[in-house]
Amino acid sequence: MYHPINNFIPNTVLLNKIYIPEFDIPKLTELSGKDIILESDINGNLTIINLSNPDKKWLPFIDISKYDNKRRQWVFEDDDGLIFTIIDNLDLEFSMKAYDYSSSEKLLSCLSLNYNLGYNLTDLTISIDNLTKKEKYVISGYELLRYEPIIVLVDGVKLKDVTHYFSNVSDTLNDILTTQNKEFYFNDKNNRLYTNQNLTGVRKEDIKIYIYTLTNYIKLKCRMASNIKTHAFVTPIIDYYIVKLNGQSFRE
Amino acid sequence: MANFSFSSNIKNIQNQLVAQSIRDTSNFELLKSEESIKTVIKSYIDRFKSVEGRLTEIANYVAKSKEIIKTKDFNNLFESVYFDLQVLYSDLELVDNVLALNLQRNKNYFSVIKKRLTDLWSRLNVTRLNSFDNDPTDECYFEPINTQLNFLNIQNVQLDKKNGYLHLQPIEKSVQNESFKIKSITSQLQPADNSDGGVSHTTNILNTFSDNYANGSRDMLMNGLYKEQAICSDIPDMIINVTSNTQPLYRNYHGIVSIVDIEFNYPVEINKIDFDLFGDFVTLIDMVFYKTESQDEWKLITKTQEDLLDEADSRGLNIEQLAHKKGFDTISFYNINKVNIKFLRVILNQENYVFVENKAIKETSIDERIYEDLSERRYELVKFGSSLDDALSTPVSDENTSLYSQIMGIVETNKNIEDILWKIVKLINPEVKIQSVDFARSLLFELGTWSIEPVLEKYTNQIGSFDTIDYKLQDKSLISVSLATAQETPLYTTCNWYLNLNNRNIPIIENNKNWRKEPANIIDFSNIGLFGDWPGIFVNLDFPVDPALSDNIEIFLEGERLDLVESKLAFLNSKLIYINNITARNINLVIRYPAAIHSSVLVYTLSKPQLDLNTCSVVSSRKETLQSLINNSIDLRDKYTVTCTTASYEESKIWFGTNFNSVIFIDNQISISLSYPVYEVFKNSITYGSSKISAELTDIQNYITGATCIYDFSPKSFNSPNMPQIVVSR
Repeated sequence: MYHPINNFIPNTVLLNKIYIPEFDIPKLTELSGKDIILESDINGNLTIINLSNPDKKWLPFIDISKYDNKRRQWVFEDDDGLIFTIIDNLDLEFSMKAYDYSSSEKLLSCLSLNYNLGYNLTDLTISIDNLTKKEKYVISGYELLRYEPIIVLVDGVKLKDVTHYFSNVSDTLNDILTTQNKEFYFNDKNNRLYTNQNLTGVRKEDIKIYIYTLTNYIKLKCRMASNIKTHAFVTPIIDYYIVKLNGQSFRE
Repeated sequence: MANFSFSSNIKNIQNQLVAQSIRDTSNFELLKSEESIKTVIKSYIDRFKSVEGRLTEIANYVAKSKEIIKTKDFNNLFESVYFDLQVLYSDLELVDNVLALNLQRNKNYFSVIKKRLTDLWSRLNVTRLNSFDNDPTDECYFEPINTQLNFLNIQNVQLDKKNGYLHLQPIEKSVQNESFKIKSITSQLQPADNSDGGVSHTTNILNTFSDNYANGSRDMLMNGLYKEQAICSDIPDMIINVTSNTQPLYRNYHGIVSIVDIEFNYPVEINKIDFDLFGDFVTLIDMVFYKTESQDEWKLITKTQEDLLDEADSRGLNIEQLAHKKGFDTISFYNINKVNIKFLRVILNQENYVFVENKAIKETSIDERIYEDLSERRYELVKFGSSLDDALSTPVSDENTSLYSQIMGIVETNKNIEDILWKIVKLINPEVKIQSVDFARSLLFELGTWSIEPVLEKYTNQIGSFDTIDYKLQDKSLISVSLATAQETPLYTTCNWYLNLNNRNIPIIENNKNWRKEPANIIDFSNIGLFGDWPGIFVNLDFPVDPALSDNIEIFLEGERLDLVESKLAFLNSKLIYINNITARNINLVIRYPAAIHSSVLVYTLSKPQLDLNTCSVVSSRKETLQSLINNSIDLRDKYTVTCTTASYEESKIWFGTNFNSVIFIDNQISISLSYPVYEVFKNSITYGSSKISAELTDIQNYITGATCIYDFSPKSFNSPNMPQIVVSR
């Protein structure tokens, strides 16, 4: 399902339809404390985080080029176009082992994982052998964050996002109110995050939600000219114009 | 107040009239004010009739034969005449004021209707566009421009509020329909009046150009209702020779046709004509002709050739280039090829009609409306200014010739009081023509104009620009933007659009076109390596050129198309071209080229914030590669950002190899390609394999940070089979 390493096709583009994600860096917004409301589910368990704000509906930006819808995983490429995924919080899995990768060492460049946190990856020389062991890596004090539209930390522990971003399959959580399989999913219809965690006794300040959003507005600039230094007896004329905006929404 | 006599106290009557008028007009309703005017007018008519056209019984005073002229009587006579005239003047002023008030209301009323109509029209346009749009969108903003300019940073552009067009700021304007410039105007209505043939002309003479310019105020072109009217038993279907040239020009028309001939006192120059149309239906301006000398042949007024961009083959005279348009409100023909005219001929056609009667009614007042609706009086013109300072639809009244001044003109230029009164009555109350028609069915056709305004407008040679307001997508991330416009760009004019995102202008091609026409963005390479010695100019384009169509690229210098065989055009890459025989930097150069719209790729460059993207270009096909490069150097990390731009797919293959992998290309004008992470440098792109040079990461970083570069860079030409080969005389 992935592009073979030697067949990388650059992003083709239509010049009359500007693809905004290439020109704008997704903005990371942190929500915590008063930005959120904790709510109980139907059984009275406090498991729901309401992002509701009457003025703001949250629709995180999903970089579809990096989302494997089938496996519901975010995929990344290193500098050679080698695509890898992160299967657990910080465990790396190369699904590219099938490729003939002769070098025993691999330099990973994971900069696309996080747009805002710049970090130095030169130390990240990973032995292929090590990778198969699924060790955890912590680089220069930063966790190896993968790009996800929403990141939820409860008491500093990251919950796994099990949202079906592009399908109509119902989102489900495993093991409600257990400490295992810390999971959440986002319901864009009502702006709520559903978790399988017992949030009773958790301070709202200890819940941190990071949401990636892209710009939602654009301006136009027009330049008109007669292009004749003297005797400019002609002019361009504009009668009207129509700006067409396409946005991203879940489950289209 | 039905009956007045000379013995009535005129002042009292006047007071009553004033009081009545004020009572009537105090209620701001159109109808009432019209009634009040009619009351005033009627009272005068009654008054004049009751004294048989005489206000003062002059006979009482005039010395009879053989009688001695008594000085006292004679003085009384003049006092009486003086008194009457004074009252008449003040009354007329009152009438004029009431009419002005009424006019203002009519204008406002008309303005409201016009605005609503425009609004409806706009909505209709959007609906139509949406219906036929095969590119569905989440949000669609329609900016008809005709309400007001909601823009920021407006420079050198002007909104013509009369018709809702945005264009370059005129720096000189001569309106060519002023009275003193006009020698005469005639109009000829077709089909000809022929009651037996089922055609009856019912035009009121007051609404004709010929009367206005022979006997009237000579201002109907600027400010008056020209109206032709005919009743026909059937829809006329005619073939008319619309010129008097030796080679006849036959046109087929349905409905009525009016041929208006304007003769100017001396030749005038025009490049624009505005028509304010009259009528309930769409009128067609079919053709406009001109002559410079009376013995000349009629020539067609043509618009400066519209650059249809994609439709390159359709060049040549076609109906789109003529002054040919349908409209119900205003029609403006911009960008007419500037011509010197002494004779102007306008062909108007109206094919719509109303049924005016059935067979049972044999007699009807055809011109009822002009009697009932004062807004159609020739002095009641609604005129819109086109200056930006006016609010839209606020009429400019100073161009109206005051009724009062017209009446004063009559009083002052006529000695006979009966003539004076007759002319005033005629002026105030046009004759109502009673027409007896005995057709099986009667179709009423009307056409006309409120004004015909030939203009010479000279526009600024500066770049006109504006920024729009923000267009926002509610609660969604914005993924893509496209643009549809209705615009005209005659040859060598340009109108280019950019998306403004984070203060960066991203060029966008409107209307899914494949062609781009833009003023040349000339880059100074005088200090860059070998290029400094090149005599010509370097031009950076907004988009990559489509290699398959690159033979069709055109260059206009000051409006003249350059011969590219002579000019020696060369591509340094798909966006950077070199033109050999042009040296001046401050010239008006327009490049018209086919953009590689379906064969472009996004590539990434390092750029310094606040610097033009194209002046510093380290290019890669991968964003991550560049990001990694600058993150490995503290120097670079703080100074550069990774931005994306476009390049031709074919060209990128040359740069990055067929797999687009592992290569950085430094400077889009210099042929160094770098492989990452091995950092191989390709010295010259023509023979890639044989000119590899290895480089270290620090070398590249040194190069970017401006340190001395050890490599001998040489220019690269983009050797696509269809690209002109570089030819440089050195």
